[in-house]
Amino acid sequence: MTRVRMAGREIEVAENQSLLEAMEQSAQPVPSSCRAGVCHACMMRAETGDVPAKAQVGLTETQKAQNLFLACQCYPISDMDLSLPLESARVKARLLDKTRLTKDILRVRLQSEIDWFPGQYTTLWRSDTEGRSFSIASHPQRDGYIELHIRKRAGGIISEWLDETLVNGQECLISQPRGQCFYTPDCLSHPLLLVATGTGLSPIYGVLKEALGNGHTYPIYLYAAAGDPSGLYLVKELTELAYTFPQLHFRPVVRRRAKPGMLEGDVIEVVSTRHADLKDWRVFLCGAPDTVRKLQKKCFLQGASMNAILADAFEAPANV
Amino acid sequence: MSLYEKLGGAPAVDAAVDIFYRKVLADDRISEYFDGVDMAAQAQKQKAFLTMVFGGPNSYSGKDMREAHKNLKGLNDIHVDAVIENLGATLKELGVADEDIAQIAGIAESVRNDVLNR
Repeated sequence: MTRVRMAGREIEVAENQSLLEAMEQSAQPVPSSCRAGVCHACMMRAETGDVPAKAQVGLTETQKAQNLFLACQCYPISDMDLSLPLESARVKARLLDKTRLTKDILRVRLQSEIDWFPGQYTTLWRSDTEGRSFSIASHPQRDGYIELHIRKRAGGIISEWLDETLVNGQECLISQPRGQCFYTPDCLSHPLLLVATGTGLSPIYGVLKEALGNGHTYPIYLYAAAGDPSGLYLVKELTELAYTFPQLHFRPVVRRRAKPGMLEGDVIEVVSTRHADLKDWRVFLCGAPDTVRKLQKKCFLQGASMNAILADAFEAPANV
Repeated sequence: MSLYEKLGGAPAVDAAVDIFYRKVLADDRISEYFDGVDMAAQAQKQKAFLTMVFGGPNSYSGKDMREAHKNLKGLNDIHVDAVIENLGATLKELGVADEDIAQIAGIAESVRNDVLNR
């Protein structure tokens, strides 16, 4: 018999009893449907304790890395502390620095006690009800701070507040980081295709640095897209990285007024033409929803496995 | 041994889903039904479908099939035929024996009326 804890309650799980059955017996609500490990409705997270391998069959590497598992397939082998993956407590963060990267893109750095994977997103809260999500460009240990790239919009309830009101040293609340768009060690022996439009470069930059930090030696192709060169940022840093790491191939892509070293055209066309065979590649796509979805389909049709494409479409309301 | 075990169980479903989904998206008869859907979520549903037609452990019911397809406008037998064809071609590509393909197509056939809401 093992004991599991969730939301302040302790539940006993008998031998040969699945975690899902035990939770249901004790009237602890867990969503479920197929009870066969297929539908993933009963996904939970282990905060502590060992996750049996069978409870993670069929999950992606990013889900496994977050200690997610399926309650219906879980016969606990140790005591565990559990949560539902959608539970998202808010924690304090302190503004360390804000810097303008282009005329409308702000780089914000925050100090917080939480942990994350570079490329995941967090929600930044201005009040109890006003919050917006942004993806993280930095690493919890190597950098030690949360870095977000935020496009400033006129009337943006978070972006304007960040730019004009919040001062260095001031505290705000952020949500526990979530999302599947991050680098896992199984990517090590595969070429990487990274595509960002606009501030989609924030999570892509996080993924890139994580790959290089892990000693990724297979080729990495990074495309950062914008309308024209004034919309690009981190070009100098990325060009220098590509000089230091010969496996990294960095190309900015603009719709118009390309400068030397840049490609001109539609990023979907550019990428799908230059990467006709994506079998065995790992693909990361972040930014404008329409572009991300079209590229996701292109990459899949050009051979990338569905599980090997991690896409983060920035579904943002107009007043970010 | 069940058909599902004979085919190789969950890893066989994993191997089949990419091939099957790619064929579906490339098929002009049905591809437009997949425009704008969340592809990762759709792949997960297709895994449940493949698990079911392989005779695997699954509770993907006729009711689920009915619910999932009831809002798709203009769905008819041509579309179901296309899916079953793509399923057969996928299995052929994976080297599944003809008699097993026939059995799997039979299971897929059994939910035709649920899919078409009749």
